[in-house]
Amino acid sequence: MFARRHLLVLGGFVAALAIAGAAEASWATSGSGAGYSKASSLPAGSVPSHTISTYPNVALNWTALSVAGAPVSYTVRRYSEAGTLQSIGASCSGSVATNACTESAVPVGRWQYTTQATKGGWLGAESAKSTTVEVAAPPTTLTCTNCHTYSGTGTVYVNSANRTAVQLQATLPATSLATDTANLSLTDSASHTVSTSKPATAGAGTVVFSTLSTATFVDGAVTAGSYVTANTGDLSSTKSLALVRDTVAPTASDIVAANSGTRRIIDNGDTITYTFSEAVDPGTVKSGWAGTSTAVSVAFTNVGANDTFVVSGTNLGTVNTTANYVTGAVTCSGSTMVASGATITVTLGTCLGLTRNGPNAGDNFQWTPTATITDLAGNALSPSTVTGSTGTF
Amino acid sequence: MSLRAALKIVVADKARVALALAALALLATAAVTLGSWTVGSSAGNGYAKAVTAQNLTLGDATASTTAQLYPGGTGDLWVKVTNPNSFAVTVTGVTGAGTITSDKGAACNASTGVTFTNTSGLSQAVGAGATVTFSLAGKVAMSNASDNSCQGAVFTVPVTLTATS
Repeated sequence: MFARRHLLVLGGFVAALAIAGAAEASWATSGSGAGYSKASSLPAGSVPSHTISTYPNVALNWTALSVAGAPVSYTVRRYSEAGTLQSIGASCSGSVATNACTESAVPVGRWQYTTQATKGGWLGAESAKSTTVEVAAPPTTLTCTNCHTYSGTGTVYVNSANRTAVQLQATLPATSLATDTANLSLTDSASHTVSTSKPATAGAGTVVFSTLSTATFVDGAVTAGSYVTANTGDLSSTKSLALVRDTVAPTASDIVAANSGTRRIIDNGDTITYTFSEAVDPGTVKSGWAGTSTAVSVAFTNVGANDTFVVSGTNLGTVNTTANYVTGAVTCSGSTMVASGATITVTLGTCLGLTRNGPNAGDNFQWTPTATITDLAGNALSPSTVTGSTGTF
Repeated sequence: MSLRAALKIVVADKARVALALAALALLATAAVTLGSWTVGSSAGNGYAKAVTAQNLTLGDATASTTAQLYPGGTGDLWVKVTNPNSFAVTVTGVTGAGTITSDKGAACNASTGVTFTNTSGLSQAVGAGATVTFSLAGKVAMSNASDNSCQGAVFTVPVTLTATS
């Protein structure tokens, strides 16, 4: 009985504890106020470095930046040295995602660049201006003032007369600066090079580069190039001039007659072929002649056993036939002359005068050309006498 | 008194003493747990009264913030909460409750670009009478609409906390 009563009491306490526990779990509360969060900020832009990669494109790069570990984009600006903001060209305009860009077709002038970090609508502080990059205009023309230009092709030659003192002239544009330097170089096919520099003009003008010696060069193609260097170290593009070095004088190598009508008789259709060691300038053979077929007159003179002839109006000189073809003056009018490569061929027209039979075995003409004839490079023909191969009218 | 009677008295006293001790222990436990429970002095009757739970209070947590937000990025929300109650609570949720402002002025406030993501399922304990500062990682986001003047700003994000004891 005693134990039962106490068990009831203990059960009541346990129930009370259970009720108390249920009351504790149901408590709820709240609170109002504010939480806080902080924004980062963009770093100041880094000063870009620059090079003229391919004229007139300016390659820029700068230190990459980030905000809270995230990469940023960039705004790139170009200013004149006086500080005037310019319109920046393609590839560097707008938002640049990487820390490098190349502005294409940058105008001639002296420029400075800045960068500015961007992220969404945020802008970092603009960097300080870069050092100056100068996009210098190259020479507008480059000419050789003492080279020989062959009118037939326009090829400009360095020849035996000027090979040790080639003189070139560069024309600089109005944008040229007194702080610029004009440069010139000559390079042959064997990579021999000579170069020189002179101060550029302030504004438009010409710079003459004289006494450039190609004494160590080999004959063949030579490239002349002129460009401008700015005091910033930047280079313009190069104005080039193709030259050909030819310092070897031509020589007369053969002269021979060939029959077309009656053998051993000077008559219509017979030919006289002049051969040189190389092609000669037709204009130096006959004034104004370009080498195509032209009318000439061939005059024979009776000199006993050494009759001679000349092609009138040309510088081919006198030819000794070493034979007795005529007994008096003979003139072949209506003759023609044509040049091909290193040969000049004269075809006789109608020949009037007293003729006789030439030698049976033919003969070997002796030809003494004049030094008026030059090769295409302007090198004068050596006037030494040459004995031709055997032939006959 | 015989020995048998004497033994009955001793056994009966021990039982009463045990019951009394058990009752005292129960009352003491209830008092510690609820705090406001009181025990009546009248024999045979007891009375209890629950306290009214007080709201949590939120303080300035700017000192805990670090520069994290940027346009297109996310950051943490820092909350400094004080539990004025005499019992511990557990913060279970944080809900945005108004316009987010900054310490950078009107231009930034006009376009903070900042949003808060309501958060539930938390279990942040705050002891009785204690102050706790905690963060909600990545729950604040900033869009590209954030005004340039918002750089370096500290944003005030109105919130409501829910908690249980």
